[in-house]
Amino acid sequence: MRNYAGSAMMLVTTMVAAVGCYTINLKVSSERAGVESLRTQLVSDAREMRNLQAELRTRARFPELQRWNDNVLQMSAPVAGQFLRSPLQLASYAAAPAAAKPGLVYTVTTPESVAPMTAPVVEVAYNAPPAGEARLIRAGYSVPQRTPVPEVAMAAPLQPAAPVEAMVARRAPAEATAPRRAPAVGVAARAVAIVPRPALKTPAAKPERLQTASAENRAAAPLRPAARRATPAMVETPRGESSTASPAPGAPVDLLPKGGL
Amino acid sequence: MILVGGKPAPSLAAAPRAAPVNRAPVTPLAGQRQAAQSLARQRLVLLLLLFLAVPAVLALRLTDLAIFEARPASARPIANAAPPRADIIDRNGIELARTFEAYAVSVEPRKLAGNPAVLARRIAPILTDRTEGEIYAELSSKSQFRYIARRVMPSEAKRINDLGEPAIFLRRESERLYPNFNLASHVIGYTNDAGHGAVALEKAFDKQLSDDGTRGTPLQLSLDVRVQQALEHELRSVYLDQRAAGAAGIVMDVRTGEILAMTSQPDFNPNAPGKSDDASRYNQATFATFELGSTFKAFTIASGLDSGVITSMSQTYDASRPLVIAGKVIHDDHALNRWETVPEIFTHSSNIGTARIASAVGRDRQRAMLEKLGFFKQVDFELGERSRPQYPPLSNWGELATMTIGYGHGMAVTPLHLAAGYAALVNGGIYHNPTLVKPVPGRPIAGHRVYKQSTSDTMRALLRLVVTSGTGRKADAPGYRVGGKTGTAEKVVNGRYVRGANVSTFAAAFPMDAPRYVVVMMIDDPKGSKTSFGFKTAGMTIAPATSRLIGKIGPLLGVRPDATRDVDLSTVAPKAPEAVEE
Repeated sequence: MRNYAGSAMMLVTTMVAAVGCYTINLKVSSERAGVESLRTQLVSDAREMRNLQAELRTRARFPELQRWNDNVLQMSAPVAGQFLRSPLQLASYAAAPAAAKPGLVYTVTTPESVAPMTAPVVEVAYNAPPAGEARLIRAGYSVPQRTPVPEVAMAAPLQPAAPVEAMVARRAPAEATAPRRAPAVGVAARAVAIVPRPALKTPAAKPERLQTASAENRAAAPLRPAARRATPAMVETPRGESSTASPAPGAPVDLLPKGGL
Repeated sequence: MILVGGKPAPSLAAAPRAAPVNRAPVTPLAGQRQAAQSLARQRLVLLLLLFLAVPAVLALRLTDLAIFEARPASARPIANAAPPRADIIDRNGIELARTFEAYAVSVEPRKLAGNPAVLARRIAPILTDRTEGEIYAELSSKSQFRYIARRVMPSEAKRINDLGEPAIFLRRESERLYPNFNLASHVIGYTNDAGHGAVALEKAFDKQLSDDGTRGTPLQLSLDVRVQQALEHELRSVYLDQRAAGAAGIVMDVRTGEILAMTSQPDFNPNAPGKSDDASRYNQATFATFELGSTFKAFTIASGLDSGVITSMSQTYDASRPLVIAGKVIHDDHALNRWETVPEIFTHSSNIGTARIASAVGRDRQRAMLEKLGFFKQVDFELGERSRPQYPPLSNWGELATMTIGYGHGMAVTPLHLAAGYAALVNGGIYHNPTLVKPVPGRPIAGHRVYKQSTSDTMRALLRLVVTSGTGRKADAPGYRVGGKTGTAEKVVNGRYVRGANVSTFAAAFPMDAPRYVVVMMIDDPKGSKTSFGFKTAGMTIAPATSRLIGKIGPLLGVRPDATRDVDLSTVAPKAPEAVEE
């Protein structure tokens, strides 16, 4: 009986060990299957990525990009003058002070009185009476051969940089069509500049409640008068172009430069 | 009752006497029992061993499962992410060819459940590149299996699947895709239906692209797809503008022989090669030979410099009248009708002057030079589509042939020959075999010397002179120091010159102070146009395109334009005629 018990114990032990090993084996196999599944998923995803890349490359193919550039973008390769030889050359572009580059605001001369481009350009600075600030005027004029150069006359009061609508609105149609006062002989002053006049600062002229974008202001915004559209009669005829080519009176005029922004 | 020897057993009274008799049969009985017990023990032991063997077998099996059978799992095909055929990429890693899983729509016509005509009418709007008639022909075929369409988009495949016809099958199959369509189609080639390379690099590298061990690594070419696009764009615009019969262009690195761009017009779409004609699939850059005209004059003058025939740039040759040799007359297109210096001969493209230099150099030295340039054999590079030059046999290579070959007539080579020759001309005199595969960085590039360094230096100045003040002025790109030579030759058809039909070529290099790239552009039979003012010559047709091309690719290739630098032309600049004649 004792012998049978020993054999039975051995058998049970063996079976337990076998079942235990098999369980471990099952566990390892399932983990391996999981890893394999992940690997398969990785490969599948990699293939999907390749397909998407292929589609992307095909859509963004070089001949298509070239067609877009030819028809829409119009970009071109840089030319010799656009490459800098040294950092010093780059720094030289920042040397000019901002005051030396006034913006062109108002043209006061007629096409006939414009001096040729070969005429010398004189830059003069003077103190404006009201503000007392230095203003820079760029004026081009032709030097007479025999007669002394008359005093440089400023053809019109300085006009600050103001919105085009405001500038046009200040001029009545009758005034625009009236003959202009001829400038001084031999002088073609063009240009001007500069410091905005406080009276024409539209933000300052507006009521305080319109300065902020509160809900109340937004509600009141539609009540404001609509901006006036410029008409041919209100706009000065561009230099070198015939006024007869302008559209019919009353029709809106596109104030943007040709070709759009 | 006990039987002993088949007799009844004696009674108990007689037992004492019969005892010896009775004991004798007992011995075999005990032996049998012992034998039976022994047998039983043996069987028990065997059974025990059998039981003991079970865990051993289980352990072995577990070991086998855990170790041996587990190993191949990681090496299964599913775990291999390598594409069925290797990608082809350019020198910057941009894909030029790749393989992807596409849908193929097939049908077993005999098993169709629906009406073929109705099915064709429903499939035709989905497959827009096939007509209803073509689809009906496939559906009503008498064969067992037919393709309706291949390379179908997934969305189209789903719509066809939604039709519910059981005899129409969708199959995923590997398809070769060329994302840039026609771009570099002559270089890359395409594969056949079996997936093997049929043409060009796909054929030349078929084993490497499809081998299990190498298909995971893309084949990297020397091409730069940006340069390729610029070249094709400019060349195609000229090809269309001039209504030409064909065109070819090459951009090559002079220091390594790498081909950065190569094209031939007309071209084709390798995604659907069957829809193109033979002329479109013809690679004129490597597979067609042309008499490339005056571009050969650079080689002749270089051989004159190299051999010592030309000792000075002020050396003059008689070009005052047409040259008569062996009953033939050689004349100039831009005749000065006087003695000309070497730079004048080159910049004015004087046939007479060049013929006299070639004559002075002599046949043997001319042939030796051409042989070093590889002009007597196919270009040694990867593509199988390459042609052998055409030239007269030695027996027929007399003085007339020496002279005419000197200015590019009587010998036909491919544009690739010309590009490789010009690379040797400007890079210091070393010839490198052209290659379409990006070389391993740091590995020296094989080559052999053709010209002396001094000859190359002089030729660079002369080539620059042609662009600044010669026939190639329209090829100048500001800041890039372009040098080059025009070549306008009458076209040869069936062994005869065709009057009025030209092959116009421009071979250029830039920047000429330190040449890096050679550009060869050729146009076959230009008709003249408004942009060329009706001219068909190279200087008016292909030279402006060369200028535009260099202006585009220069910044891409790292060549910075600089208007303040140029080649020193003081040694080769033509002098005044009075000074020349002194």
